[in-house]
Amino acid sequence: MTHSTRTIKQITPDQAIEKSANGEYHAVIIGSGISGAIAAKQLTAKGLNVLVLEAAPAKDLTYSGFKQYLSNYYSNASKDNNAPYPENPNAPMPRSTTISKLIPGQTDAKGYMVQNGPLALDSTYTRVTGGTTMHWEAKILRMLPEDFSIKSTYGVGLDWPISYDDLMPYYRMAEREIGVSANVEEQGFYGIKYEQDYVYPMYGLPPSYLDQVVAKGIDGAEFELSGETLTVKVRPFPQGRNGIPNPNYNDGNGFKPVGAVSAHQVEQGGRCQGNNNCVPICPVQAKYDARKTLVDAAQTGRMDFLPQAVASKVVVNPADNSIEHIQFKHYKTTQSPEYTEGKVSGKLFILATNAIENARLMLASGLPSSSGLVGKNLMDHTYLLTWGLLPEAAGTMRGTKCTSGIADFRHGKSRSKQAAFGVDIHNDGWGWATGSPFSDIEYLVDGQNKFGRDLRQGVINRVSNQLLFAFMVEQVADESNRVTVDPQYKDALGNMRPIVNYNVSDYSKAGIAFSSQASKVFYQRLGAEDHSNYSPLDYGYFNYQGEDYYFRGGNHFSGTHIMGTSAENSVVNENQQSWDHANLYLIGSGSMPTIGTSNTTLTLAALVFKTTEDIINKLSHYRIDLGNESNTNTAKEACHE
Amino acid sequence: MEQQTQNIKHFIELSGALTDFNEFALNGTGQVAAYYQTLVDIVGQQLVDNLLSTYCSVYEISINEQMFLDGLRKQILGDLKLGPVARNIIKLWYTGTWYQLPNTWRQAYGKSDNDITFFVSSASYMEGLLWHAIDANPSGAKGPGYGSWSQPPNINFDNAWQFKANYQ
Amino acid sequence: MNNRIINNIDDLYQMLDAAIQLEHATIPPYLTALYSIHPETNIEATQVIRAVLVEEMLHMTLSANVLNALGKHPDLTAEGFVPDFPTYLPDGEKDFQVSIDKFSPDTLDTFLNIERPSKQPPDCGCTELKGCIVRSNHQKFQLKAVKPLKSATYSFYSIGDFYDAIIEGIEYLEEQAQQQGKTIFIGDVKFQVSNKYYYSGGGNVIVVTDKDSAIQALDLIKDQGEGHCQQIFDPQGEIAHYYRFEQLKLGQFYQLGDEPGKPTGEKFAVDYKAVYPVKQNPKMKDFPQESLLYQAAQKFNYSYFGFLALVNQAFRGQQDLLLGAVCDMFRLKEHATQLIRNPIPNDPSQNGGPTFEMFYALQPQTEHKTTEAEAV
Repeated sequence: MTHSTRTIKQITPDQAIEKSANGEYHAVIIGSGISGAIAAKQLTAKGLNVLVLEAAPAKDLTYSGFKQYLSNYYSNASKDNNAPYPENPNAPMPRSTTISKLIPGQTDAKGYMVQNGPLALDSTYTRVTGGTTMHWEAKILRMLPEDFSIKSTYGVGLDWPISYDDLMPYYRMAEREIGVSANVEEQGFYGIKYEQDYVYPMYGLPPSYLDQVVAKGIDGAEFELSGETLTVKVRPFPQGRNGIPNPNYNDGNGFKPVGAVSAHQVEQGGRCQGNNNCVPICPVQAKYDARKTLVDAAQTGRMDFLPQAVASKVVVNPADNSIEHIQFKHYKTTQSPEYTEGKVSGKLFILATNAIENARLMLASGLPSSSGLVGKNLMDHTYLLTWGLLPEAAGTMRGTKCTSGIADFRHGKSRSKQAAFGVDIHNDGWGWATGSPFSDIEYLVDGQNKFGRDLRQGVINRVSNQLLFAFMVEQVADESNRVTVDPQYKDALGNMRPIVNYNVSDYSKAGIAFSSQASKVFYQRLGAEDHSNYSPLDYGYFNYQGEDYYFRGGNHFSGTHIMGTSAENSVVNENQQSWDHANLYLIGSGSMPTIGTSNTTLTLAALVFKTTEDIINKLSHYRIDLGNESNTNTAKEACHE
Repeated sequence: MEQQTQNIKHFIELSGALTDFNEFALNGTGQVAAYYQTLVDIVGQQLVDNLLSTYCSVYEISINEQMFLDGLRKQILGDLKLGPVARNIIKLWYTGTWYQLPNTWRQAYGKSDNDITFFVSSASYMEGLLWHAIDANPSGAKGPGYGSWSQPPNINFDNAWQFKANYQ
Repeated sequence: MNNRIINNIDDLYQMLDAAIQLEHATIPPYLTALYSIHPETNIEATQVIRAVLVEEMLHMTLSANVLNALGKHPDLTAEGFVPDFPTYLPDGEKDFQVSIDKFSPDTLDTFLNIERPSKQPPDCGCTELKGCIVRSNHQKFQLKAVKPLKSATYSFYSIGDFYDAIIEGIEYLEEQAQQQGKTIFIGDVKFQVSNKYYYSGGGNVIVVTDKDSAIQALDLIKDQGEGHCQQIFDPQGEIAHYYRFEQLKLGQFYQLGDEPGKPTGEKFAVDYKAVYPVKQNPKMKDFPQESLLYQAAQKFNYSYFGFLALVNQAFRGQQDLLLGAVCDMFRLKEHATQLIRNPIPNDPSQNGGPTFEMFYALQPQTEHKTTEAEAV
């Protein structure tokens, strides 16, 4: 049935403060992105009462608000990751458009995220209700089992305190929550395994025609690396967007895709239609975003939602080192920095902002943790882009952003010497690298002096033949890559902004260099013109062993509050619980000690399921009266199936 | 009003020759009036009249398509004043974007405050002809349907502009 | 004469044929009104009409599933299946006709008429012919694809009444069959369009295999149209078509708990000026034969017939074709939009539009591999 009136009721700051004072909240959750939303959904489903603070307004929960995002996007001359989302000085967000080449030794504070270098990082996140899942691409990969033990296996990076097997059941829960479209038989490689008879909720999305053209050219290419032979095979990606439900899911009970979020009656949220715009916004809400989960939490009646409330300080009770309350600043409008302050509290506190903001808030609260690791080990995926023109029209610019890629460089012995990488085939052509297709029109009209039939044919040859490979190169934990704060950099509400200190190690650079070689082999095999070039003027430029490259950030911030086996080597334990403050959880990709070559969202979502299980177990020790509520809850859960 | 109607008619004809899309395709975008108005707002009525009358005279003396296209290139696209404007019209149709005119042009022929790079409207973004040319949808709108992307594109010139000798 | 409208299985087949024709007949008017609205304007009207249109496609599929369950197949390519607009609806409301037209107050009134609730109080338990008006002039109702009912000549006040008659017929005939140890549901399940190939925000398709699933399917059509038990919202919180449209008339959204006619939700404005001046019930003969508009309108009609043929095949066992039919529908929508934005060359105060005139002599090729509902 259509979820025609799926929306979320909001409360006022005074209500939140009062209910906090009355001890009504089991948990206070900061952030309504995917981590916060899943936590809210899981806890409320078990009869617990939660308060969710969101720094941004919640206009997108109405269809007109969502539609405004779209109109913003259409009319915005820049089509960057955050183009649909309005400027909000009270809870600002990084934008790639503010990035420029850093001058050595100088800090660049133009954008919200202060760049301390030595390299500029153009990664972003989105501070809106639903968080960065509003703009994410929704490729949704599991990590390889070997990624969890990279240190003990390959001698680099950090081991996780848990294994793939430990996370496997939670991957499954995350795939259900997000509604993943994929075929198990295409995904079980390099150690990735599934429970017997497991199928994804929906069938895999069909690969693009471009994927098929590329596969014809490069499937079977062999690479010798560290004494192993890697054989290339183009494979489809699992997708966090609606496809065709698999009737075999859930022991033959099937899966019901989740439609659009809206206060009014709107028919959206069906199958992916190929709008080729997953980033920065899916216009038909076929793509999963965290608002879908948040609405489920709201429908339990046990979630209070307070938007426009920016958490400003985590306050510790010195007696037992527990968290006493969280201070927040509530603003009435994004047009004015006026705010009122309040404090909220619950039995426990969950920071679910994201890897940068979690660290920023902790550091701004004077809580670097006893290990001193808060903010350190900042990781992202570094992307090398290569682009060329195929000898035929491949139908580029159609389909979901990316339907297939190459996984064969993600594993193996070479990881002891150079970073592993995954490869994406981009259905949106050169867009990421050159601003295609708009830049192509400029080139053809202003540069090539084409008009009429010549121009029209030129557009076909120049755009429909495009191929872009994005090599997603692993970055391993390194304490010198870190988030810090400094009172001289504050936002409109007076909250300290994140300062990023970022570099790419030789280990990653070696992976990038090998990516470039692989790319050259691919273009040669495809008979394609290689148009890649890396200008020294580019903000991501670097030279490695005499060759020019640039990198792009992957928006996969992680590692800033890593999990480990003790308070000495990590910030949180395997359940993302702070070693220092027993009633504090820092959740999200910040907890990941290694990210391998998988986009981080599925793994962080799986971790939240593991964490909420732990929280529910712990809170039951408090002997909370779950009473009759658990009955209604079971019914609702069944209803959601 | 009469003059305006005539101007728009010529604007469509000129646009057709410059973009290789026929009148039906141009009207089909719903953008004719908005683009004409954008042009007038930014470069002024006088220059628009100048451009369209140049087009008309090129057309009137052309006895075949080659001669006509040659005239367009020399008299309009190759003209110091009209060239950048004509190229802007092409880019406008192909992308829905008005591009700021080159600085040298702005110095010589006047700077309008409105002459910045912008999408004429959120609808104009969706109506860019470039997407029609490659049988794709504008990213973020008009999704072509589940799985459509796994078929080869259907690129054709069915709605191409055609030279018609001697109107009247 | 007894009180039932459907007395034998042929009556039921014909009523279901009419149902499919009826659901389809609403699509050209809804589609044209929807795409007559200037892009990026009238967001509320756009979302309401679109939502209804998507569900009409679901309804057509549900009716087809019921007919297939009885062992018969629909024929969307039969001559006269697409009505000649303006038209009366195949279920026989006499007091209004339906046109292909731009979005306007008059058009909205027609839409309200199409979706109007039954005059019958729900569950009245009355025994007379429910919501049925005896009619004598069948010719008027353009049931060209459907032979006039043999049993009697009836027309209905509302679509809901029409479906009530079908449900009553199914119950009666199935009971008769059961008494003889038989069933009327003898269709092969392979002809049922399932959720694998059909799903959208418009709701789930129901696979029909027996009386209960048939009634469930028909109830869904009724509930989405005129409302469940004549309520604004159904138990899942979905609002009925009639009330969706009424919101546009009243300029305000309904919310749960509202009384009919008194919405209390968010208010909004409807701008009838931000609409292309589509010629009412355009015909090919209205366009100059040499014009690009004529060629394009003709091409649209060929493509539309091709689309119907494809859906027809899908309803006859090749349901995987529905995936491609969706993509065709997306193209048709673009095509219709272009027609709607083009002035008529010799009458530039009015714009063209899709004429939906089918050329039955020409059976187009349909070779696409791949629910039309998503496409609008």
